[in-house]
Parts: sequence; C-alpha cells; structure tokens
Amino acid sequence: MDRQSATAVQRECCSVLAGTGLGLRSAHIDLILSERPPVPWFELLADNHTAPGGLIPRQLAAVRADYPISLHCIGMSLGGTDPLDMAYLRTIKRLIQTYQPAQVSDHLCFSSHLSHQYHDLLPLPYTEEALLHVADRIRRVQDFLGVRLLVENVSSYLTYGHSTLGEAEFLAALTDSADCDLLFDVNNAYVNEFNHGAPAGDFLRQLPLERIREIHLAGYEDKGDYLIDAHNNRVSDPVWALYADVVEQLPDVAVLIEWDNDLPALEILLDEADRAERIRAPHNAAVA
Amino acid sequence: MHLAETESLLTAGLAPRCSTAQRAGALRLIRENDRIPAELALTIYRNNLSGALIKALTAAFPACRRILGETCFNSIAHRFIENSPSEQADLNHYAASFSDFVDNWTATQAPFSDYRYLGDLTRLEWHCHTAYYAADDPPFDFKALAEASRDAEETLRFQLAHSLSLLQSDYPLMEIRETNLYQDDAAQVRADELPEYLVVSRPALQARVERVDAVTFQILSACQAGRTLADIANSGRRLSNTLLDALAELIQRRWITGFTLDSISTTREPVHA
Repeated sequence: MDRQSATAVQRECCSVLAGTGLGLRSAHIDLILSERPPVPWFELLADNHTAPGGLIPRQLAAVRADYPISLHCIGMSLGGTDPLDMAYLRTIKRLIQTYQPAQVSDHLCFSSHLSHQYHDLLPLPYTEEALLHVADRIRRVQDFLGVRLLVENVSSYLTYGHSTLGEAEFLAALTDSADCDLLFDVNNAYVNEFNHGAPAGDFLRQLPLERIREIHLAGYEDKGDYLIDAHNNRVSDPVWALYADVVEQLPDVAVLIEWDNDLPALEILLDEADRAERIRAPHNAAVA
Repeated sequence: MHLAETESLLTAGLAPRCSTAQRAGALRLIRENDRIPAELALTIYRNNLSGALIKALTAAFPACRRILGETCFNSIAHRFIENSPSEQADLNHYAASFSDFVDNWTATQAPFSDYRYLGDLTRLEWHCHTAYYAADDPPFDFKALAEASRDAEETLRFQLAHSLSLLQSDYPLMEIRETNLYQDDAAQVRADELPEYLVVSRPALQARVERVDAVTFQILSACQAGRTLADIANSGRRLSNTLLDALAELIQRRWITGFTLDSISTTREPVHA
C-alpha cells in the first residue's frame, strides 16, 4: 500500500483521536456504560476481545456507540520469522470492520516462533537484515488490514550483542521503509533508559516526530536494580517528567493511560488522565 | 547472525526445561549489562511467559483453583505449561488439554488420589469457558424445516448451538462447581443421581450448566455425532411423538439451532454480534 492510499483508508474509516484516553478493561465496562464518563476515547486490547459472540461484542458495540476507540494488538509478531498468522490477522480485520477504530497498533518485537506463541513482547536485534524483514511484514500486514499501523517501542530486559543499529535509528528507518506510524510509549523509553542506560531524551530526539500518532503512559514496577514494565502502578515521576518534554513537542497527539494488572477503580485512571491533560494544557489550547 | 537463528536461540533458552547448551546459546546473544545480567534477563522473560499462561489457566479454572488452593494450583499449572506450549495467538484457546493433564496427575500422584473428580471438573470449567466465548447462533429456520420433504428424516441432521457442550460424569460436578464458585464456605457436597448428564450452553450472555436426563443426553449426543434423524429414531420405525416432542423442546431451548439435509443446508455462518 502506498502512503497516499494508506492515508485514504485511514481517513475513510476513522475518526481522529484527541486528548487522553483510557485502556478499556472488562472490570470497568459496566460502570462506563452506566455513567458514560467524559473520556475522549478508549483503547481496546484486541487480543482480549476476539470472542465472536456473547457478552464481549455486545459490550464493545455499546462502548463504541459513544466513544472513539483505538485497537492495540500484541499478536502480530511483526518481527517474527514464522509466516504471518493469517487466522489472527483475519480476526483483527473483523474487529477493524466491526468497530472502526481510529488507529491500529502493535509492537516492535516478536511474539511467536516455530509455531509456539509466547504471549509476550520479545525484543529484536537491531540489524539491517531485521529492518528489511520487519518492514516487509508491516507492509504486508497493512495491505491485508487496509490500515496504516502504529508500531510501538517496547520495554526490554536484554539487548543483543550483534545489534548494529540503535533502537531509535531502527524505528526511524522502519517508518520510512514500511510507511507506518509510531506509538511512542514514554514508560517503555524510561524503563529502557534505566535498564540499559540509553537516555530516553536522546531516543526521542532520533525519532521522526511527525510519525508519532499516539503516546502511552503506564506505571512500572521498581525491582531495585531494574524496572519491569508491569502496568500495575500510577505513572512514576520520572515518566511524567519525560512526558512533559514529549508533549511540549507533540501537543496534539492522543495520549493513553495503560493499566493492566492490580487494576484500580476507574476514578484512579481518570485522575491519571486528568494529570496528563494538565501537563499538556499549556502546550495545547484546543485540548485545554 | 540471521534473525531466525537469533529467535531460535533466544526462545530455546527461555523454554522451562532448556538444556545447559540451549541456555548457554541464549546467554551468548545478550550484551553485558551491569543492571540486568544475562541470566537474570532470561529469568525475567521466562517469568513473563509463564505468568501469562498461569493467568489464562487461573481465569479458566476458578473452581479447581479454589479446591486446590493457589500454591498447589500454580504448581500443577507450571507442570502443565512445561509440557504444553501455547500454539494459538488467542489465549482463550489455551488449556483445552488441561483436563487430560489433571486426569493423569490425579491418577499418578498419590497425594491427589482423593481428587480424581478434578479432571471432570476442569472439563466442565473448560466447557463453560468456551461457551462464554462462542459464536452466536442464527435463529432456527422453522420454515425451511417445514418445507423439507416427508422422507427428509433419512438425511436430516440437527446441529447444536456453537456454545453447547455435553459432559457425562460419575461425580456430582454441578454441585462441586457451584459450591466452590458461589459459596463462601465449602459445603458438604452430596452425590445425587449418578452418573450426571450435563449440558453447558450460553442461552443469553453467560454460560449455564444444566442437568438433563439420560434420554435427552443421548439425543443431543447423537446430534453432536452427526447422526441422521432416522438413525436417532432407530431407522425403519416411524418417528415417535415422544422423540418429536423432545426435539421440539431442544429447539425451543436453543440447544438445537439448525439442520442440514443432503440437498439443502440451513447451517449458516455464526452470527457476529
């Protein structure tokens, strides 16, 4: 898909996301449907909502009737070397056709190998060979789904000795080669800075900012010597500080609060979203 | 090093029972890092991988987990995971074979000899799990059935709801499950009529377990096996009113949702809600 046609598809089926949205979690859906909180958009974890019938699609249809959504995937295995999982991609395509998400994203990683599914975001070596391979897979996924993907930077606990490119250098080249966009996860960038020593500010500066269409915020778990991207806490102060730098440069990009484990009451998530908006407000009159 | 080789070496080193050579192969990939030594990095990923699968098992088998307790359940779940890698991207499909594993576990591990019913209990929980996620069914096409020819019974096969599963057990599973899911204190489980014939379905939005009599169970089993109506009614005899009444009730309960004839089929694609 060339850049022009990908953009046309995106515009045809999608609204534009703005403001700070929340990850939609099943424990909150009844409350969301009964109280209709003023959340600008919700992110749907595609892999948790693949059921073709029953309660889940009905709830999603009800949420979608009132809110824009984005679709966030973990199973495309964009960096994998197995053949693309067409059964999985058909499910994602069905979700896209049903719920008309504004954006569709997955991660720069591999999650399956030799037919085994790992249900985790395993890191890639940043090499020229991997770059060509991932770009080709992203192009094929985009062609099949009919949307331009957002690719997210992942947190990692190892780097490869034979990598020849930096992560940001790899992502920048990837967006150009595959004509995809970026989802910048601020927490992941900070976790990697802490774990690997690569400054997150430098990482951000090397990315093509015009390609960043969504920003993620989440809480990590502090293990003392290292950080785990656990999505089980409030956003930490260093991540808020990095986020402030990000929104200064990208005041109009949609932001998401992610919280997956030890899920708190919805009002805590709304409070985090409110904080994200207050930090953004001086830079974006339209949202403020 | 090629990407495929990198991925092979890393994933081999993450396997729960990897060999020393496989672990060494994965460790050689990893750049030195003072904060996260290579061995720790593998442990972090290994824990993430098993954590996702344990979470899936915990969600699918809540009554079994309550009976065994968290520590014991997790221990058995880890052993299952070691022998059962996930092969589908959709985690909701993981653990279909957990019941067989539990059967074997309770049969071979002496401390669990009083827990032989757990295999059937996990089977029942798995049926509830899959019923919840199953496709919706279209309404039964009475008009098409009425238009079928008089001798249609020779080739007519009824089809069951996508969410429906059948389970016959020598244990009072329904009561064991309900006691452990819905009561704060585990009550004494009493054995009613055994064997127990159970139908799991999703009549509305939640899975439901219902006891049925042996005849109803046999009719549903025959439908599930793809037997023709004539075959079910003992081929050669006229259909009895009793069987027709039973089938009408199964259709009314939406356990039978469609049919096929050799010449036509009213089997439609699952409805996407």
